[in-house]
Amino acid sequence: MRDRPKENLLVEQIPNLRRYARALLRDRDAAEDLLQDVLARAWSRLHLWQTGTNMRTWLFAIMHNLHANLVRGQKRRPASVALEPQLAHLAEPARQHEDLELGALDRAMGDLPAEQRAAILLIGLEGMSYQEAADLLGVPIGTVMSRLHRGRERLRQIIITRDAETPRGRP
Amino acid sequence: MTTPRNASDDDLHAYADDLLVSTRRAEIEAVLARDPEAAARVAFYRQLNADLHRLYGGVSEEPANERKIAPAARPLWQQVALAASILVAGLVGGWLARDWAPLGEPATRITRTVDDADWPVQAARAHVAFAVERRHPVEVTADDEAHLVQWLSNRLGQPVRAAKLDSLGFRLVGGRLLPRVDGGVAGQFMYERAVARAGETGPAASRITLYVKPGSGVARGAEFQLASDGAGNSIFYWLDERFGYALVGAMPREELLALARAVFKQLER
Repeated sequence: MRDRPKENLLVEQIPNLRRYARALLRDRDAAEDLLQDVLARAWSRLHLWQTGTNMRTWLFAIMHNLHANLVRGQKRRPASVALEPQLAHLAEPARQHEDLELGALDRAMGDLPAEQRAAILLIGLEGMSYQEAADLLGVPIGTVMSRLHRGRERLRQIIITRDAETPRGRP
Repeated sequence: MTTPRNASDDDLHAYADDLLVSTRRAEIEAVLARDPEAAARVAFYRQLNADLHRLYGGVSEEPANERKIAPAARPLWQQVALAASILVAGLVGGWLARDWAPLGEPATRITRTVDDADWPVQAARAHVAFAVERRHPVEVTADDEAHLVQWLSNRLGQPVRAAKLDSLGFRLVGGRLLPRVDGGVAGQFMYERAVARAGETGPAASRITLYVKPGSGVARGAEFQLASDGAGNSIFYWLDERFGYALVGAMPREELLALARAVFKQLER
């Protein structure tokens, strides 16, 4: 692959980082704050990034480290501002009612612990391999598989229960 | 209560995520063929991935934010055009009502015949012939869409429209008329990704074509059939009263199916 400027490679990932942050944090404002922090750190450390390595993995790792700091900081502050997983709905208002099933999935995702949600999103939304997800999360690959399995199976149970009541339509 | 995880669960997730090593695919497919519960789980995982894209997958363009975070001290800063929103629609709802999601089944390989019964193959041949062209892949461009639609409607004997796939990231390139082996004609609409995807080499990789031929004259419930041409292209096709449609492309089947679903919704009567 021809070497392109580091800056271009970084900027290309911004939309992915944004969508992942929104899906993970379930709060657009918090996601934007996290993204700004991630980008500030990434820009200041870009000279350390090695050409030829995976820019996406590097950026998502920064995002997860900062997110972990964020969560730890929140735990240390008792009561006041805990991250409510069921805060703002992510879908734009116009699309919010377009599909009741998607709304149900969105709510179900909010019921998952963040680490299970992260595994599901990294694999299912961002299309990463299990190894890439493990690398950026700094955990063994078995841990990724375990979180993925628990999260997906929990969603499946929620949706199976809901589907028992609603018939599916045609194409 | 969550199903406890064991080694074979990893295989099911990997199969659903297309991350299973190819040497094990046959083995897992055999398991799925005889275990409906495992098959249902895999179908769910695949549907979940597709639904995640529908729900969260719009990759947004917000250049204002990018300018805010650009460090002023960096003279090498260049703004790169952000990818257009690509919403990948979910799988057809009816799939889950089946015993086993057809996307996991081996695609039907259509054998060559002389009459029009193999029209999906003709659609694939036409795709391969024209999608590779850089300068003139179509005869009438999207600038002349009104004329294109009028022309094909006249020749096909019934009104036809060009489906709009912009919300899925594909813009109309244009279209042409094609001969059919049984002496009739067919229309071909060509679309391409509005923003090229990294890793797609050559113009054909980012294009789809919709082949439209006169239909059966018999109203029937449309059912998507899947075929492959053995050269990396998948074909989703369906036959209706007015027209037969075949959507051809080289991208992953989930994405092609989403496009087929959008076409179906727009063009159905």
